[in-house]
Amino acid sequence: MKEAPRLLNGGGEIEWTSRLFADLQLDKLLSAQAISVLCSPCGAREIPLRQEVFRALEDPTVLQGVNACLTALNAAERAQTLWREAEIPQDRYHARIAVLATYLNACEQLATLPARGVLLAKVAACFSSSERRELALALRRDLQTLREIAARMHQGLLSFSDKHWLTPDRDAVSECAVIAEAARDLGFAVPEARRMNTKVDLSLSDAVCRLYAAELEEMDALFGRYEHMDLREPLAYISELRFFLEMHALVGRAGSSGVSTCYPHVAAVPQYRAKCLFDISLWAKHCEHIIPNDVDFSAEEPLFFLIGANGGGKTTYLRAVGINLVLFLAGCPVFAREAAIYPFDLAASHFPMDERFDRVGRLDEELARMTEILRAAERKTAFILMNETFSGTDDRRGFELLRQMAAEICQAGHFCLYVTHFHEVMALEYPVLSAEIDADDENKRTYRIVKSKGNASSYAADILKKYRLDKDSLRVRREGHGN
Amino acid sequence: MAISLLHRADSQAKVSPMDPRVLFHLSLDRSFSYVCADVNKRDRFLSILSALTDDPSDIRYRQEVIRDLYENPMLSEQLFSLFSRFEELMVAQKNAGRDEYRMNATRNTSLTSAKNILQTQALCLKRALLFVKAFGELLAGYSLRSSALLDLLGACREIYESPSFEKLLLYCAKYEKFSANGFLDFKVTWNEEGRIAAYELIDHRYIRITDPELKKKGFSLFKKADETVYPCERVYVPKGEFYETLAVSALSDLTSCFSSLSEQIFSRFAEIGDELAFYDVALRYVCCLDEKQVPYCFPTVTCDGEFAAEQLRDLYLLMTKESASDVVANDVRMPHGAGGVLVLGNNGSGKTVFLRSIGTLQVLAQAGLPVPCKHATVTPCSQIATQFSEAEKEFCEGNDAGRFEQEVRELAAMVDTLRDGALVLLNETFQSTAYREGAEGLYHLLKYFSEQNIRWILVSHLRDLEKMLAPDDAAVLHTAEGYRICQ
Repeated sequence: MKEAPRLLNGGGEIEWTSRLFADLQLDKLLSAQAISVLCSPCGAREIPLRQEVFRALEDPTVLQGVNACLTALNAAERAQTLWREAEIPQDRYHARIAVLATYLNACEQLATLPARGVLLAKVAACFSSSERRELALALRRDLQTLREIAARMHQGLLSFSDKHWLTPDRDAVSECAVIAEAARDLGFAVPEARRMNTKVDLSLSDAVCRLYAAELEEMDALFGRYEHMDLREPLAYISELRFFLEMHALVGRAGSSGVSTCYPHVAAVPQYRAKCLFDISLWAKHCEHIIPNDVDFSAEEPLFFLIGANGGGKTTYLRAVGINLVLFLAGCPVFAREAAIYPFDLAASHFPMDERFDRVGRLDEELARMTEILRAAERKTAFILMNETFSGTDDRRGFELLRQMAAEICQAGHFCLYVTHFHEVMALEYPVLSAEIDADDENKRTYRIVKSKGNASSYAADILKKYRLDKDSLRVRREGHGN
Repeated sequence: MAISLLHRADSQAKVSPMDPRVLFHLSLDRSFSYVCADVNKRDRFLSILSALTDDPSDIRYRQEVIRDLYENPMLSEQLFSLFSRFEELMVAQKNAGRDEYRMNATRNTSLTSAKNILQTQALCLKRALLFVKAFGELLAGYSLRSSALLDLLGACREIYESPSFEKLLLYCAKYEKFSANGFLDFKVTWNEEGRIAAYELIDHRYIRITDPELKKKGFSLFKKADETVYPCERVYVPKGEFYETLAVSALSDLTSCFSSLSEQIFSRFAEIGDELAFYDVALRYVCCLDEKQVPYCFPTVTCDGEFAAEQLRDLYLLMTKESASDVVANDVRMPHGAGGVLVLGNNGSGKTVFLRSIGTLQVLAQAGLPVPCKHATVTPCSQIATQFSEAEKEFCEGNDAGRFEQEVRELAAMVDTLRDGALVLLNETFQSTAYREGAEGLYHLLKYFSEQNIRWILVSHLRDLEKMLAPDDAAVLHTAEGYRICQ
């Protein structure tokens, strides 16, 4: 039988380090399964194909079809687990019927997947091929027979006296049912007998198997027809569909939070341009009001320094750039109004780590990590996200290292966003972004990232005033104390 | 549906329960302590008194029951006794129900305990069914006129004259003597996953097996040629709780059937016990009036707003005095259009007693009871509220108000809940402040009551009110010598 096509293909050569996802806080927002997919960028050819799937999911009927498919696949997986774990013969027979039934249902759901976009169409076409249709027909017929056999065995009478017996049921009526009927005549009702879900004991299972030996033999013959089939084949779609649905749910959340989403243009030359880019990791902190910012990296300006006050949103901006880059590279929609991004070979991050360096100091650890990143980026076009790198040493040495690193990155043809407190970068030849108070915000408490030469002390007065440590506040304090 | 001797099935009563202080202000608790010494019974009676009905049909429904029971003293005696034992059974079943609950909750009950609980519940149901039959047979022995008692008889007959009644009794008898030591037979149902979905107790007659081991031993030599062979397989039950747990569950299901049926019978007749306690006290009250030779009557219930009583006596005074002649009788008539009645008079001239007797008459009439006067016509009100001047409340947290403020606060709370058609009895309200200010405050309140179709009767020293109120606003009565009340 022809091998079933996958929904997530391509890439896989380079895997992002898990450090990147922790730095971008994506591990707080997405499941480990989704992150495992994002770890493998899919490549320039695959990105538009995945984007087609996400576009298709915007149609409620497609979404419904995919959800139904996933439900069927989950049921098939659960049935197979139960079958594997069944220890008692009676359980095994029933579990095996369930495996075949859920397999058939999953295949049917996959065959009816809306053929929207290349990837979904290929899967639907595969599962509706004449070969598979014939198989499904035969399986459906056999399942019908299996169910009929199981129905013959679904009730029995147990008698306990000096010996204990199991005998087939011949329309025995329970005492509760007889009483319920009499009660109904008098205008009363009795509670329904409780529904149980009790695992059968081995002794009872053995008795059932002996009592219905002919029926079980018949079942075995039918099961034999499917012995060599790979019933797990469709289950591979579970993780793939979950990935698409999870990312689609994020897009849905964006819609209800006023966050824009778009499918970026796959740029042919290295660049990263986006309008109104959002940092969705803020959702993990239950922050719904996210300030968007623009991004404009090009071959002419591949490296930007980002400076500004504490709390000005520098790291948020850095994460917005990183998160959306990673999403784009995995073929997902990005959280921006519009974007054009080059499919970079590598994305890497260099954020401060917890200070628990047993053998080396902080600076040495930072340098070692940076060297590792640059080695991984050799002969590739990488996008490097740096956050306060080299702040673990004195000003002069730190700035010197920063300058050297910037030069090395640019020389290697990589792109970089470098957040730093070194305001001396203003004097370097690289462009600088800075966090400025948003002029549209009446409360003057939100910041926007703008291309600027920066102003190191423009925010200090605000912060001092907030904590009543500015000149006027200190005077008032003094007067209050009678001095 | 529960059967009631107080409310007709299609009762239109829309009355909110009275504030317990109303009975206190009207001294009804004290009056009935002379009638019935049994505190529990009296409390049940007073609680029904508090839950007034304003449906005239309900009132007449009760009056008929009192007449039937009064005319058939043996019936009332036997009925009270039967229902008292029925209530004892209810309590016993409730206690057995706790064991059943424990059995279901803990799931580690032994088969013996499950069997015992099943036996108890079967016995309870049998007794409950027999009580229903006993009620019916008792009522059938009398010539009754009240629709309430005839309805009760009908409800009982509907149950015990059905063939299913005997069938249920047979099942109760079967499980009352149930033993887990003989045969235990169950029907097992497996679900699609091969798990047990149901495990139900069945009668042994459904079990037909041909023991293959007997056949091996040569017993088949005596078998007739056409004898049917029933397929069966031995179950080798291992040690463990699997089968016992299933058996307990099946017995528990049957126990639930019995207990649920008992509970439904109890709930159908549950109110009757309390209601009979009400009628028991009502009959004692009538006997008390008879003994004291007090003229009494069942009031005529009307909906046209009329309120009149001829030779009305105060109940509390009647209960504390030797005979009716020791208590002054007054006539009262509330004019059709008047919103209220203002009673003015000196201290100790009988104003409060007069107010109390009117309130008592209204409460008793609406409860369906006879009232201590020669003739009465009453319009049911939607609510009865009282505000009697009280001593200043002791200092407690949150009560920093003086006496006047307390009164205002209470009145405000009352006004918030008063509805169209209510009756308000006010005793010396707002006299804890300057009279002019009190009168003025009260005047606006009384006007508000009248505008809201809330009837009021005010006993007061505030003579300014008489000048303030227009003749159409209220009827003004004055006390006269010898505790008489005159227009």
